[in-house]
Formats: sequence, structure tokens, C-alpha cells
Amino acid sequence: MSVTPPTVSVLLTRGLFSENPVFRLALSLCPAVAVTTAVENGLMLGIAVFFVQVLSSMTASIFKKWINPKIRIPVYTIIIALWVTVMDMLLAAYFPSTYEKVGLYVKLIVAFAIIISRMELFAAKNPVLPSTFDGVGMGLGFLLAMLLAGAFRELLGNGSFFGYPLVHFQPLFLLVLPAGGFFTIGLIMALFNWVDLLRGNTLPKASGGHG
Amino acid sequence: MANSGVGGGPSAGTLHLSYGPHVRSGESTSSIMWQVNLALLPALIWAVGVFGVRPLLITLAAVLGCVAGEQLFCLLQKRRTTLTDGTAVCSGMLLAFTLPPGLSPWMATIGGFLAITLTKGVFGGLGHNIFNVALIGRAMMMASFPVAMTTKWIPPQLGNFFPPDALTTATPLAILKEKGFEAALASFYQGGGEYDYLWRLALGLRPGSIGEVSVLCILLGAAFLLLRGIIKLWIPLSIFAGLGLVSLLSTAPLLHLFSGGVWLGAFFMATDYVTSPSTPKGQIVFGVGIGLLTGLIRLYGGYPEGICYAILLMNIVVPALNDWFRPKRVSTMGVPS
Amino acid sequence: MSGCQGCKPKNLSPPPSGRDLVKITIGLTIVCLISAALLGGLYSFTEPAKLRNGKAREAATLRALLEVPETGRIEEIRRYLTNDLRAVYLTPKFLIGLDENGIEKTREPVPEGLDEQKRDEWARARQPSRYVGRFFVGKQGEQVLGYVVEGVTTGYKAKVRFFVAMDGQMNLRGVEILEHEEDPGLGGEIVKRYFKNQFAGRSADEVQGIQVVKDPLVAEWKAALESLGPTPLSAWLPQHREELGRHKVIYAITGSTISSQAVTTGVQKTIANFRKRLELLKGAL
Repeated sequence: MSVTPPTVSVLLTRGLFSENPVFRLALSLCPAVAVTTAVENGLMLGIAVFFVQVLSSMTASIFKKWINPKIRIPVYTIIIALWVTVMDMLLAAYFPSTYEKVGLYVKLIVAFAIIISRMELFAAKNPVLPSTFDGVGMGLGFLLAMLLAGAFRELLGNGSFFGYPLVHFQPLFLLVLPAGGFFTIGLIMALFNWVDLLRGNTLPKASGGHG
Repeated sequence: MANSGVGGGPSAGTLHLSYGPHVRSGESTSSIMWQVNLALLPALIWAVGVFGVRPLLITLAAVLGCVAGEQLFCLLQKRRTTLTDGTAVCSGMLLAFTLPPGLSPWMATIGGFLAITLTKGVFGGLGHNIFNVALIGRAMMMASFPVAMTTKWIPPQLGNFFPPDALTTATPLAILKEKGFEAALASFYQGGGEYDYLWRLALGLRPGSIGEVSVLCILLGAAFLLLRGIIKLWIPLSIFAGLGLVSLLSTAPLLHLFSGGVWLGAFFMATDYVTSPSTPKGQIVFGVGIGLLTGLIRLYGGYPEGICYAILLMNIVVPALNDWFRPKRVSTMGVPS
Repeated sequence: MSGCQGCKPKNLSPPPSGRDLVKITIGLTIVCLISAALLGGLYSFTEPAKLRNGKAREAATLRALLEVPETGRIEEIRRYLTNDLRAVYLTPKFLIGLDENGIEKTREPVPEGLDEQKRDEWARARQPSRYVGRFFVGKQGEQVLGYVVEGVTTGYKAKVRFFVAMDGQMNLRGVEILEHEEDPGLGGEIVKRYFKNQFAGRSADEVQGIQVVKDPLVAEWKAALESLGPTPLSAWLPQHREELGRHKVIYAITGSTISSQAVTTGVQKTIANFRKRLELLKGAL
């Protein structure tokens, strides 16, 4: 496996579209379905995931020489759990109103496939700075995914945006329900694939993305 | 019927093999579909007769939504229109038949559009859908407009073409679930002998969805299709067997058997070629499963009517049923399994 | 068509040797120790802040619910249950033990200058018992402004903790949801004004028998409910008393009948229990 990492601009931007973790790599679909009932929820969780992703990737890359390959998965999990708990404690102590809304989901970040997958596929094999940028790129991509899905579901399902009602009825309440979450993710995924086809690329083959 | 039988993923180049019974009358898909649409007309005429002109508007709206969805996908796939095969119209009519007669027609248009695009279009078009299109449309509408879908009933009046704005009565099955048999009976029938109410149920003088109220009209259309060989009795009979079994556990078995969309579902929805099994044995299992589930949902589930979700649930099992009940190879002359 | 029958997993790696096991164990232990140390250190900073936030929020909620003026105060009364099922109450000044019939049996003064946790420990040491609940009294001088009772109920998912606020005549002043794990957008709507404010302004008897219905919430009533909060109850009630009388039910949240019913039942039970206990305690407070 080649160790020369891609350029910084590629690292920062590929997570947004071509390797968007939710809509192209099909990772972390659970929060994408569960938390995107409103833009605000999606935004908060996206920001939390962003920080955990950057910090975890950075940590994994710094310590990559000392992590025994046989136990790398438990160690990665502990690293993620460490940062998630740090985030959880900081939010509870200093941002109580945000914590009320997102607290439940912050604890679940440990199980997100995207973070451990980036650590395994990229941070474990690349220097610290590129790994950090990769984390930033993927974190931004996840945040974008949450915002897109959240906007779609809240606008069309609840008639509001960020809590402010735009119309005074609920256009298609189905979208706010879990079933609507699945449909939303599927539709946006199809949209991303279609844009990709228009740009002349073939459809992605496997999840996980490039190293 | 080239594309029936083995439901599955979209793949343009593969050959769909399926096992009998095939319709051997030499009719094409579109001819069959338009005959089905014809068979649905008696129920629609009755609905207009007792509920007024709204059912017609709802039906047209639903068909419009389905047609729009179908045309959109033809455009996206860059092919000639498939509207002439009659399937979009059929889905629209069937969807409308599951809706309360007092519903706002625009909701039906949305439902029809969503149904066709998300159930049929994204899977690859005719023959590729796993779920019954009309029923998915109804399920989506139920989730999206819960209040309208459960309250916009109209009390039936023969010859009353322009009834006032829908009075929110409830269907016999809904009352049965909440308040019991006596109350259900009293809601649409007063006086008379012990079994006279069955005649009213059969004729269709009770509140309900557009297409479900008149058992007789449904049977009229179903008889037509049976005589033309378009549907067979395996599935409907199995459904009633299954439902009959479970309804013995309830306080009003006959009310259950004569009510609701069971008749519409059994003869028109469960028998859809694309989403039902292709062998008689498979069809029997399919039908019994639907009947049992319908009864269980009605008695112990959250809804007064269960046929919609029962059929959708059994749709999932259809590929497995086709696999298990595959007829054995008669000869070994190079036919792939 | 059939799946991969008889597929064997490729390349099974050999089991780790003794030396490998030791290395793995040491490695994992070190990682865990470092993580624990980091987290423990951070905890010592953040936990006090978290508790302070919680207390501050609670105090603000209580003052708002009872409209306690600056000169007033909120007293917390904790309830304990001994092993032989006698009630023990810890008020700011006294520890009061009741006998089986609810008659006051013992009363001793609480030592001065203890913080919350120490008071709790002292109480449980003096009368071996376990903590089962609490309520608050809003006072101005010696006049009782109202009560806030903490209750717990099982929602659709997990426990829902809430406050029920009442005035001296047992009319409800409001319901506040403290903790829940319901789904956002569905059961999570119980924290929204248009749901929780449906209890405010009603008498305890009315709430005791109130029904939860699935009918839709009328737009005017919803707007009225949303305005309670920014407008305090004392100003809101005269304006909307007639409307309150017309809507003698609790309108469930669309798609979350179970959560709505759970909160309603929880409120009803909390009120019922509290009224019983208050009778016994009135003299003591």
C-alpha cells in the first residue's frame, strides 16, 4: 500500500462529495436516519462527530508506532471512547443547554463506523498532519450529510427550518418518522450517484473509501 | 407474461425465468391490466352512488399522481411512455379505493406519485417491484396524513351526489375495536333480524373506504376476472381461510369476514402477478399468511384494519416462497436451475 | 442462485503465542491506565461544574414555576422510607419521623452548616432509610406560595422525570419535564409548551380524571399554550380561563400517544400521592 498521502486540498474536500461518508461510503447510517429529524439536531451531532473524528484520527496517527496490530481495534475503540467522554463531560459542564439536546447522541458516537474506519484505513498508515486533515474532511462530510438530510426532512416533513415554522402545516409528516429517514437517505444517495454519473465516473464499488 | 414470477433486482440484460401458472391466453400485460381496471368499475360506481361525487375526484387525483410518477420515470430512463400498459391507472384506482371518501383529493395525488416513484420506479419499473404499489401508497399516506386518513368517512346515502362536507363518523371495524360489537352494529344498522346486517355489509350501505364497502360489486369484478382466467382462486380462498381461523377468536367473526378491505385486498391486491408467488402451493401459504396476519392486526394490533400491512408483510416473503416451492425439473436437458 | 455453501474463511491467523499474549495484555493495560488517568483528571474539573449547572437550572425552573419573588425562597423536603416502611421527612430545619399511621413520632433539629450531601448522609444515619423522593415548597415569609413535586414515570423508552407545580389550593401551575430519553420529534415533544402546558391552570381534581385524546390540537389553543411561559401563569390564566374550560382533555402529541399518556398518568399519580402525604405533613411544615 503506497504511503504517499494525497494532497491537503484533496483530503479536505473529498469527504464532502466524492467520498461523503454517509452518501457514498454508506457509513454511520444510524445517526443519519435517527438524528436528522431537524436541522438543529443534525448540526449539533455533526459538530460533535467532527471534533471526535479529528481528535481520534490525530491520536491514532501519533501513536501508530506503539499500537500493537493485534489489538488495534480495541485500542482504537478506547481512543474514540476517551474523546467522546471528554466531549460529553465538557458539554455537560460548560454548555448545558446544548447538552440537553444532544447529550444522548454524543454517547453513541463511540459506535459510529466512520470514525474507526478512518483510523484503520488512513490514520494508522499516514503521518499526523495528513491524518488530521483527513479527519477534518470526513468530519465536514458527515456534517454536510446531516445538514442535507436534516433540512430535507424538517422542511418537507415539518414545514419548519431550524425550529422556525415556514408554513403552518406539516407537508409530509412521513418524513419526520423513521421510515421517512430511510427514504431520505436513499434518495440523497441516489442523487449523489446521479451527479457522479453525470460527471463521468462509475458508481462506487465498496464502502470504506480509499486509504 | 415475460416479467412475472421471480421478483428481484433491476438488471436490464438478464432473462427472467419463472414457473407456471402462466396465462396462456396469449394476452399481453396491457390487455390484462385494462381488464382489471374494467373489473374495478362496479365498485367505483357504487361508491359514487352512495358517497357522492368525491370518490370520483379522489380516484382521478390518485390516477393523476400515479401517471405523473410513471411518466417521470420514463423520462429519466429515456424510454417511450409505459402508460399504455395500464398499470399506473390500475395502481391509482386501487390506491383510491383504500382511501376514505371524504379525503382531500390532492392528498391522493401525492400518495399516488410517491407510491409509483418509490415502489416501482426506483426498483426498475414494471415487474421489478417487491411491494404492492397501491398499498405502499396507502401506508405512506397513513403515516403522512394520520388525521385525515382515519376520520374523513361519509355516511352512505343512496343517490346523494353532493353530500355535505364529510361528517366524521367511524367505520364499523374501528368501532368494533374500540367499543365492541353492539356499538359497531348500531353504527350502520338499526333493527331487523339477527343476520340481516350481513346483507347491508354485502351490499355496501355502511361507512368505509371508497372501494371496500360493497362486497357484491367487488365480487362482480372478481368474477369477471376469474372467468377470463386472469386471477385464480388460490390466494383469495386462502386469505379467507386464514382470516376465518383468527376471527373465531373474536366476538364477531362474521362482521370480520364481511367487512373491510379483505375482499378488495384478496381479489385485487394480493393477486397482483408481480408481488405474489407463482406456484399454487406458494400462493396458498401466501394467502393463509395474509389472512392470519390480517386477523391478528385487527384483534391485537394498533389498527382496526389489517389487510394492507398483512399483504405488504407477505410480499417480503414471496421470493422465498418462489424458491421453496419451485417445481422439480421434469427433464434434465440443459435447463439451468 | 444459492449462497456460498461450504465456504471456508480464508487465512485464519495462528493463535497468539505466550509472549504475544503478555505483550497484548501489557499494551491494553497501559492504554486503559492512561485513558483512565486523563478522564479522571478531567472529571475532577467538570463534574462540580456540571452539578452546579444542574442545581442552577433546577432552582431557576422552580422559581419560574411558582413565580417566587426575589424576597421569597424555595425549601426542599426530602422523603425517605425506612425498612419497616415508615416515612421520614427531611425539611430544612428538622428530621421528622412518622409512625405507621402517619402520626409524627420523632422530630429532631438538623445540624447547621451541612451541605446537601452531608445532610442527606446525616439523615440516613439518624434514621436508617433510603431516599425515595422529594418536593419543594415556595415560601414568602411564612406564607406558602405553592408546591413543586418531583415525579417519575416510564415513558415510551425509558424513565421520564418531571416536576408538577401546584399552588396552596391544589390547582396546577404547570408541568416541567426534567429528564427523558424519548425520540426527538415524537415522544421528545413532551418538553414542548404545546404539550406540557396543557396541565396548567386546572384543578387537581380535574387533572385526576382527565383523558388523553388523539384529536388534533386546534391552532388557536396551540398558540395560547405556546404563549404560556414567556407570559407567567398569573397573567395568562385570566386571559385564557374560558378556553381552558372548553378544552377539558389532554391532546396527545401526533404519533406519540404512549409518551403523552405516560406523562399524564405520571402527573396524576404524583398528584394523588402528594395530596395524601401533604395532609399528614401540613402541621409539621
